[in-house]
Amino acid sequence: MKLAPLIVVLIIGATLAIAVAGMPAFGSSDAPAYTHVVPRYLEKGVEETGVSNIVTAIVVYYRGYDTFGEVTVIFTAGIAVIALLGRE
Amino acid sequence: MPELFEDVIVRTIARLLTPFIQLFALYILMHGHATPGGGFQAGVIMAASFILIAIALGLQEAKDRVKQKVRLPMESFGPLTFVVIGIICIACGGYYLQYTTVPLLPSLQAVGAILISAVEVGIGVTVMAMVTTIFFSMAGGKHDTN
Repeated sequence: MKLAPLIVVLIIGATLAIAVAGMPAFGSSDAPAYTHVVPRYLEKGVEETGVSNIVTAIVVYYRGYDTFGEVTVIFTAGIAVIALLGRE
Repeated sequence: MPELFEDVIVRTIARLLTPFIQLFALYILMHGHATPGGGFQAGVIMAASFILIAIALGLQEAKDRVKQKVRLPMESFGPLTFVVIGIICIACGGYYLQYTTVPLLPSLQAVGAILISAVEVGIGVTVMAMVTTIFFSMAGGKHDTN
């Protein structure tokens, strides 16, 4: 059994275990993910996008470019299946 | 006449259930801006109805309902909708996909809702065509008589 990889793994594991203590509590409303940009979406979302479903507003409006990429991924996957398996 | 895969109860239930599944998919699609749902979910539900037909009534029946001639152009519908609407937004002076800059109606919120629904429809059509195509491609071998 090699000792060096074990030591590296233990050091990285200890570092990560220590870093966990600095994370916000699970489900905490003070987490940076909920305090940075989410309140603005919730306050101005309906006014700016015109849709009342905030999930759709974020997916299609605020993160529209990302969704465009997702649709392109699905399109590419289908084209790859057609190219590999033949046209039925 | 292809061989019958399932007995009469399964085939009847599948045939009766299919329109309601498709209606539910359209509801999910058109209410994506107001209630949980959207293009991806609606496309998958619509594809599930065709997969149900393929399992219960046979592959050929499902292929007759969504013809390949119709399905292949539908696959590129979603990305094209995104690109066209995004370029319209740029032409109207906004950013790419900034829907509310398009001066169609006096109310900018209504324009946003309409264009977001249009994009959702494009996503749904693409997902539906892709999932059915992948299913048909894997279900039907090359030695199939089709």
